[in-house]
Amino acid sequence: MGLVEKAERNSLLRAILFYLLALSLLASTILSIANGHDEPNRLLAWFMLIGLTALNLTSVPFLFRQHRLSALMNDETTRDHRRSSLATGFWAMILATAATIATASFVPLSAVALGRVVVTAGLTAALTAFATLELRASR
Amino acid sequence: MNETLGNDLKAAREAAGLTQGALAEAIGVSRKTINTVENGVFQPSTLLALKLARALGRPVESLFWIAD
Repeated sequence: MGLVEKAERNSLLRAILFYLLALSLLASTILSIANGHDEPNRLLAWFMLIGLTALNLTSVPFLFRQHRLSALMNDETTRDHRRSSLATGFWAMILATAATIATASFVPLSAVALGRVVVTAGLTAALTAFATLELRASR
Repeated sequence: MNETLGNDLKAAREAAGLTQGALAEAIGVSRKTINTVENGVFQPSTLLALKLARALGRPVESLFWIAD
């Protein structure tokens, strides 16, 4: 298998992984709000998860890799998809913030729940947008 | 002003007897980059446009042009 085919296969796997990550972030936020779980040890794990997820939406993990396969997996189109998906995530966060503030004026919401909703909305939107753009480009 | 970038990449690639994967390999990008440029979905940087032109042995202005 050539390098281009290998990069294409890895990009496909990354897109599928991003969809799964978006689903699991969404599920974890819904479950934590429904069950009222915001203990520090759970929050620490969640912070690590969102930190790693956010990092993978940027080109930072590729900055220190010199291999040609890494360059193919972070080429011009992919970087453009990263920019677009981060913009989508930004607007999703704005909308989620507005929606949660409006909700909090009727129903009491903890700051942790509010933060989780906003971050989850942003990351889920960005992950889904990136994965969709990547899959569409490969067709 | 609603200008877009037109291109003749697909025809030039096929005339050179290259697949999208082979052209991608030759200039060090992924196949999806070639695919999106050919379909007009993605506008390549100047650097990429010049690399494509060099790989296909064509002047860059014959591969890309401003379409009104």
